[in-house]
Amino acid sequence: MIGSLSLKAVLGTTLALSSISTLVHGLFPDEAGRIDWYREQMGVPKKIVPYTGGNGTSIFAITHRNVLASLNPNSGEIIWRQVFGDSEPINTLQLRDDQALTHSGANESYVRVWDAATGSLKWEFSHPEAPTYKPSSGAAAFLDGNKDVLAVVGDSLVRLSADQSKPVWEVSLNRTATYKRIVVQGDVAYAIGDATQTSKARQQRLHVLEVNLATGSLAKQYDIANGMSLGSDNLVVIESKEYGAYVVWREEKNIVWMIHRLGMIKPMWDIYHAKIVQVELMPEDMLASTISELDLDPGLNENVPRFALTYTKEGKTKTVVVEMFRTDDKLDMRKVVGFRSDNGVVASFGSALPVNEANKSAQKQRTVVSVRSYNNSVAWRIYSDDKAPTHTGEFAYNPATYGPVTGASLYYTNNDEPRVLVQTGGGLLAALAPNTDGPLWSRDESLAHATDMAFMELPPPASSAEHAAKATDPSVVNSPLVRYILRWVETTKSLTMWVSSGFGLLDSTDNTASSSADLASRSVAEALVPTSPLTTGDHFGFRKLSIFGTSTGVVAALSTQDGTRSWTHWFADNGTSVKVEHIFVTRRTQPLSEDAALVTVVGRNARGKTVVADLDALTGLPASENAIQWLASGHTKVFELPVVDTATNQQLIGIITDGKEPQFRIWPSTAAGAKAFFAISDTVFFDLGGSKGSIQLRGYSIERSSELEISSWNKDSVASTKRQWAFDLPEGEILVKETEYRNGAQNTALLGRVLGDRSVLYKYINPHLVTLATLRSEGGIGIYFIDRVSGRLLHSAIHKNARVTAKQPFLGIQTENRVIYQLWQDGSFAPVSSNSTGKHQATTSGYITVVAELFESDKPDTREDSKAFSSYDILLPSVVTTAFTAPEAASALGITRTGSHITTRDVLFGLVSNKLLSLPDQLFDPRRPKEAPTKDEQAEGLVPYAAPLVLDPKRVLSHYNTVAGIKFISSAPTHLESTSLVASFGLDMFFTRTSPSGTFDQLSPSFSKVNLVVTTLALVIGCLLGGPMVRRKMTNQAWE
Amino acid sequence: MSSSLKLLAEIRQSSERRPFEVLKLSEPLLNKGSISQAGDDVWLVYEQVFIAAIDEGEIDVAKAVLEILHKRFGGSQRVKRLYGMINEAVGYPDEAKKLYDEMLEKDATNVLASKRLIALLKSQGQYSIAIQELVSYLDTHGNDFEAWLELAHLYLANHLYAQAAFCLEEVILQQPANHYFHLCYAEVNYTMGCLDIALKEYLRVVELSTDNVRGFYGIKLAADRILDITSHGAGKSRDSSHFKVENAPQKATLERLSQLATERLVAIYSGTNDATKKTVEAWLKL
Repeated sequence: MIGSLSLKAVLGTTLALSSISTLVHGLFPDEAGRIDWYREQMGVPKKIVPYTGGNGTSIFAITHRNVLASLNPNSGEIIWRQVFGDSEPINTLQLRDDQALTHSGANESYVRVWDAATGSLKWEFSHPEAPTYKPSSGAAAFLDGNKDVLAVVGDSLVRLSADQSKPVWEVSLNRTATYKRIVVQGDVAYAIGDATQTSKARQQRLHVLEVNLATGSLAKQYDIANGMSLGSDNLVVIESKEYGAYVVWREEKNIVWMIHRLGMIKPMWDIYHAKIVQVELMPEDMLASTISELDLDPGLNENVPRFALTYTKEGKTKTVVVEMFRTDDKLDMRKVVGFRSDNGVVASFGSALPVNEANKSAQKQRTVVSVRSYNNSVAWRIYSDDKAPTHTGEFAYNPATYGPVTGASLYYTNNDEPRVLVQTGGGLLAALAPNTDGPLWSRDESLAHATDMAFMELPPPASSAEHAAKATDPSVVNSPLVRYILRWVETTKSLTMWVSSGFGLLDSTDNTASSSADLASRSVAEALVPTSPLTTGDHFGFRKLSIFGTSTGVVAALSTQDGTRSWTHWFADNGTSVKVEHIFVTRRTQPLSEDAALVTVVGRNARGKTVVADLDALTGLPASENAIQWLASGHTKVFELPVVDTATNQQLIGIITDGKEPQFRIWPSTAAGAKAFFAISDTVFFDLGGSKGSIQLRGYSIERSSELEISSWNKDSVASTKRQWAFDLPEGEILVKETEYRNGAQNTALLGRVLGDRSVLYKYINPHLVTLATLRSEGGIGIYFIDRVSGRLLHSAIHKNARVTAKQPFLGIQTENRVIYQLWQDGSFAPVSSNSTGKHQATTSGYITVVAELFESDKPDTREDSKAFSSYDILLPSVVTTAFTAPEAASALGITRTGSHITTRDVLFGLVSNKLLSLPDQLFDPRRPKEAPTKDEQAEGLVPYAAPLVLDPKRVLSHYNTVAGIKFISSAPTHLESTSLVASFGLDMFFTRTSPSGTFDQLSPSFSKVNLVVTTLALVIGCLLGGPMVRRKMTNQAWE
Repeated sequence: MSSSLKLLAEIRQSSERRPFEVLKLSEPLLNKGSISQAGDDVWLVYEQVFIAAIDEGEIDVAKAVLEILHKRFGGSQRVKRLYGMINEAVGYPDEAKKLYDEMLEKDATNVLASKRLIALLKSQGQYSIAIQELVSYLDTHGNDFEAWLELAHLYLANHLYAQAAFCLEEVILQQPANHYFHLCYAEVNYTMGCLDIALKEYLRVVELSTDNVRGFYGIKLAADRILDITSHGAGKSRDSSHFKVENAPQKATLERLSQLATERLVAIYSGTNDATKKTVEAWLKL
């Protein structure tokens, strides 16, 4: 009895252990950073402030990706960062007394004070939405002498006390102006804004408000600077403790500067240019001149107010730094520093004060840096007076990679060594130091603005025998014997290398060393341009190129294995970045083809015009002279066509452009491409009106062009389209999001699902399935499944209590015969189907993840009885849906992809808690039994239904990394069926490999080849020793 | 391995008794010492050489080889048997018998010792004792058809036809496809007067072996004899009661069988010289 019990216990434990071992998807500690890589990013800086506080100098930045970050000035690493919400842009950054002040948000705005050393929040103040809010107003500033903050929030001016973090006093601004600037002067403060235009005063001007800081009472308010606005090229606001604060401007068509001291309504000073530049400027030169502010943190300027003037005289552009000074009671200006800033390149400048007190007094003036990028280098000079520059430097830089330098700032290290921080149009941030060749460090922040990404398969390693033979004589490859011998030669070579490298042991320690070094510096770009771009992959397809397109115009190719950069290319139109929207790999490298791999980029310039370009996928250079073409108008939709241009072996891309009727363009727009396309054009359908806010979805087919048109097809040729159907949303509903299959998500290995009784439920897989989510005016979300070809409504559902807002977005993804979407549900957890009586009533609000699975019929072994799938004939699919409650929101959804789709697909969640999670698709089976499972359901392996979706921490792919702001999740198959590459990006980037069904086709990492060899040797020795003994024994036995 | 060792191995495996060749092949091996090339088989070669030497009367060679084997295996039963054999060869059958008895005392199932003992008894002409030994041996090793055959021969030598026929039946049970055993059995039955069985067995012989002359002679003899007995009635023949013909075929069949045998014999001998032909024709009374 006891024996059988213990046997049962042992069996039970074994079963339990084996089931656990299959569930664990975590990775080994030594794999972290080896099979995955992570890049911490902050986005392209809006404003950079080097600040020297109690803990030395660090660089603070607020970015266009709504991140506040503190960078190490010596390495560029992020010391800390705070990621703000997507709808909460950061408007102001100010640093005082080891505290950072930010003002963020629009109507609903926040004032926050952070500890500059650690990034921890000291206090915050939030202001709810105000009906009288003026768009884009908002500013904040520290007060002198104490840690209080003065801020424009909503439609009020408030003084916030650090101790109570609530208003000491509040002044309503009553829509008088859009306030963007606060200047604190002693015991008064000025709020400056663009005055509201009324019917009486239509002209642009500035409105100034003077408040008493102690009481909050309005001292005065007045308008100045007719025709000007804040941020104009001809207006600066300058502050200084000693001289007071001033507004300097030059009115249009006026050659005289107006200077206004804040708080003094009269008198004003007029100053002529000649006194500053000490040259008589012609009126027309003066008219073309601009003035700009110089100090990154004007409030810190303890000495004299300064600004810069840039003018062109006799074809030479010069920049002059101007300083205010007072003689007796008269205020005047004088030139401090002047330098040439032409050669067709805009000069940028920043200024800074040395860190140490001694140097501060020695260098009475603040230093100024000028940076010029020309040809293929960036040169910079630091001036402290009008003499020769004190420091100069130059470094080689190709503007085609990240664009020209657009901004610079200067800071000093703790030893008062000057450092120059330059920023380029493409989003590169680089720190330069005197007497160094390259940049001290650099950060590529363009990738935080990625808009699309494509994986590009790299050719297998060139060292393989076929490639070696191909290099010498292609004919020998035909002989299998030669191939066999070559393979052995290669293998022997690599074996000797392996042996000479100490059996790979030394190599692996090297790797761990470098990977741990990577961990420390992974946020820092490795090199601006790699010396040897990645051209070959590996045998397993783990190393591919991931080609990113960004809204800063940068197209960058990164290795999927370690994130090293292969190439970058900056797209610009007249010096301003093109917003890259789509990346397609249109030609892969073929083993025996000379055609270079191609990547096609579709972007849009600031005016909405579309550019299409073919780049060589291995070098990033334009593929040919005509590889970059501007279309006459902007595009509304771009998609890959299922056809290849036979002449160039390039996959075609279809571009829908605006016109009276939508126009269809083919890329590459050649006669051969057109011919290839019109051979299949009957099968191409697309829909328009899928954007947010639309109330109608329209389906189109493409009209066949005449033979003559096809044979003379060129870049201006368009095919006309014919509207096939229109799907009007019900009254009062507007579209939130259109979801369709992406990246081959409709591919499948199995046509049906085998049930427990061996019958089959056939999947309804329609590549033209489109899911619409709509917002209903009476509340709730409508879901519509539409067929793109026929416009038929296949299924619809209503989530009565659901909601979609900017903070509670709708996310959807289509995979095989499933549609998975996430939305916010208020109050009750109601079932999806529209005719339900609401059986599952619950009272909590939260995110729900809904899965709808489409089958050809609800009866097993029943399927559409036709050879070809037709959108017009097929019966409506049978839809099974289930909803799960999700404990937290996802910001992106994805699906793993493998070569043959035999491996199950994991559903990938980019969580708002900065994790990348993968959940098995069995969890999302809508057929999971709600009651006790029947025998058939057990045999099918269905997991009993449970409403909460458990976000198992063991399945977090990003392990300890904080992957913030995931917006996109992409996946690519490898040559191993079990393994899938997963990439997530948005703000941070995280790449890894995952095996949803386990690594069934790989040796486990703990498998020791050394052990295998040793065991084999031991067996051989055993045989050699034991053989004679056994033979002797057998002989003796025979002769007994 | 040298070719002579290979040849020796072949001879050993086919159980052929070619002592002269074995000695001739092994002589250089023994003299040069290259016999060790045989590896683990060297002892089998020595044993083979030993038996061949005895067969050829090369007692000195046999003694030398036996010395080697004795040195290696000492008190081995297998070596003891070889001592027995050499005793037989040099004319000390009693010594040999004593050795064999000792071996059997130690292990009553020692096949080789039993066989040697039986062979020894047979060679001494002690048939009855040999038969006794062989019968007790066959009690244990009933599947040894060669032993059954040997026993049949011993019985025949003592004109014990019924016992011999029984032994041959056992042999045929184990080796049913060998026509020679059928022939022996047929002849024993013919001798005993079981003509019906004899005819059947002769027919089986010609079935298994095409144009078997002895088989056809047997068919002719048996068929004619049965015809003779059945046509002349029981009383007429001298001692027809000694013959068993109950299970014989019909008269017509017998006649046709006799005719067939005649035809085949004539056909078989048609290619031979005239004298032979004539003799055959005379016998067949043509």
